[in-house]
Amino acid sequence: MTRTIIIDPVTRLEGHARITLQTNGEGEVDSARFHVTQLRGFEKFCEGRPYYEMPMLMSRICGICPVSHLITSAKACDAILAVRIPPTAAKLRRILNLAQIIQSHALSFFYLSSPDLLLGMDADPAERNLFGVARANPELGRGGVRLRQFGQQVIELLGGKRIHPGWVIPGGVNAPLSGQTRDRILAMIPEALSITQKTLAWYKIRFESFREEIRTFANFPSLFMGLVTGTERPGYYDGKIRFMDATGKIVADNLDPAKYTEYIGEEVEPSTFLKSPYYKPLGYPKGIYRVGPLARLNLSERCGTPLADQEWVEFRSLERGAVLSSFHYHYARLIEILHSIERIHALLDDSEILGTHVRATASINSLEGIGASEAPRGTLMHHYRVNEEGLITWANLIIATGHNNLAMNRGILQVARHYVHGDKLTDGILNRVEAVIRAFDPCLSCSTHAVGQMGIDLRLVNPAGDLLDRATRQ
Amino acid sequence: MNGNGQRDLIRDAAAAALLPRALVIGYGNPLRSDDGIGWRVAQDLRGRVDASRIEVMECQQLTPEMAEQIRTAGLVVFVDAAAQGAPGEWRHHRLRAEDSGNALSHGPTPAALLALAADLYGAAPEVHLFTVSGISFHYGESFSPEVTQALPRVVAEIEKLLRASGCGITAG
Repeated sequence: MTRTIIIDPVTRLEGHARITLQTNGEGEVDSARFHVTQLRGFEKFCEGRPYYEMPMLMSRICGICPVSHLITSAKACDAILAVRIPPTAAKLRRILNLAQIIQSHALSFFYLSSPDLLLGMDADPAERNLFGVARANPELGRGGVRLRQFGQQVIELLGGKRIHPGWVIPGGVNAPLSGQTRDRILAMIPEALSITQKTLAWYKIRFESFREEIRTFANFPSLFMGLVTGTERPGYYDGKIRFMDATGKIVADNLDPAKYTEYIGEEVEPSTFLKSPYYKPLGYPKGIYRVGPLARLNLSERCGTPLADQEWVEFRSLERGAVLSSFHYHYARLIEILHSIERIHALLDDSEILGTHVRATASINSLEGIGASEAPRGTLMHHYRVNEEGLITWANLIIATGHNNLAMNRGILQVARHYVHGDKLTDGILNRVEAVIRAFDPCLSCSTHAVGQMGIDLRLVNPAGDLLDRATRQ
Repeated sequence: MNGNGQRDLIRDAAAAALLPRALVIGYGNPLRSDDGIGWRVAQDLRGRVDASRIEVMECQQLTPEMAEQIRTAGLVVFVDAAAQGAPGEWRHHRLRAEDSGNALSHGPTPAALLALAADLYGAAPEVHLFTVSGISFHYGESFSPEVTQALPRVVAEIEKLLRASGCGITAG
């Protein structure tokens, strides 16, 4: 008899979603679907607003990564002004973007995923949370709190507040960095580095306990996409788009992010509000690709800072080609935190960083603007069209979670086929289906344009669509 | 350096000197009418307390990082709006740490935050929660007449508590 399993809601993610698994007569999973059930609509309700409102308006998409939207939106507005922003402003934006990556990665790794990683996928759900981590390994918990706080403090010190800072504006930033603030950030760096290195050392031993999950968590050949700068390093703030295949071969390079429509298609499915971008030359859905920390470390030849480069070498030795298991997103996140701290340090030591020319001014010089940057979860694209008065007439956003949509669906199918057999759903199975999505750290509020409260609804249906079993978690 | 940065320095200095320190956290959404009462109480208190002894903060929601701030406080006061109760009714509760599991990632309760502070840092401050029952939670930046009327009474009650604890009040 065939069944449909529905997981609703999916927990420890940002946003609302449910998962449907369909099994055949032998009790094996035939298909899996990740349904994102919330709609934000930012692309539509920004129409008619002046372009210069976009950075602040679009940053309201998310309370976790508002800085990523702020920066990418401002870059799209820079393009409308057709200005090259002052070098100091670009460096200050880079620091802000890296601080965003640190605090978001710390949230994902320590708050959302470390309960699984420390306590195990089969641990009692009542214990498998941050409280359980705090009791079982307080040092790990304290480290997570401190690292996230570090990222948030850098954002606050630069942007004036931790969430939704308005410091980044079209043309640059609205105030230079003071020597006092620079010194305050520099003073926090040694502790942040130490926590990250200790966590990496712990994780590199710990992940050996997850061989089965590494083998089955969205571990398949796919393309990887991201911004690369200087041909070898991840381009967190800017760069050119690179696509790489599973063997590590570069299949497209030096692509202009502003021409993304030439190589990225966008497909929609009736079962979800999350769109499915794909690599156009391969078509839909064969053009599946992954973005984010795993992709960035696959696409680059190094990180570009000493400590992270050492970790990168070790990371890339996990596999001969690209590192394919999405379980390793966790590992990649830690390396990116390390790199981001080092890079912030280097930028703060830059002689230009205290420069006072931080904004270029211009009026509207282009009726279209596209901005791209690497958000914590992957490549973020904002595309606006304006009229002569500078009012937004059209907007398109491609969010990292959207880029990963096809891969997340395929990852759920892989995990479900491996763990779901027959008609019994254990909590460990439920958690692994959730955890494969959690590895991607999706941000559903970002990617669907609802207020984010993520739960899980797992449904088992037969081919006729009859509901046979259902497991939910609030 | 902005106000928050200065407050961090003040907090560090106070902690270093082992002074009794209080933390007041007003939270809610100031764009949702009465939901912003905690925020407003915090703002009203800020000008009336000794900033070297009492840290006052406003936020949309509680986050796990606040466990670190609770670590160095001897007294913690949370101020929030309540959806239950007669409009304008205010209540004062003493809180104990309480594990609330997965709720943490999307905004812990004050009791959950205390549990986290206890587990991570061994923190065991005296904790109070003041709530004001709202009637309007629609979009807006003004309060209902009932909540407006309750505002000075709640501020005065918290001042009284802070004064009794030995933390500094400079005005009022």
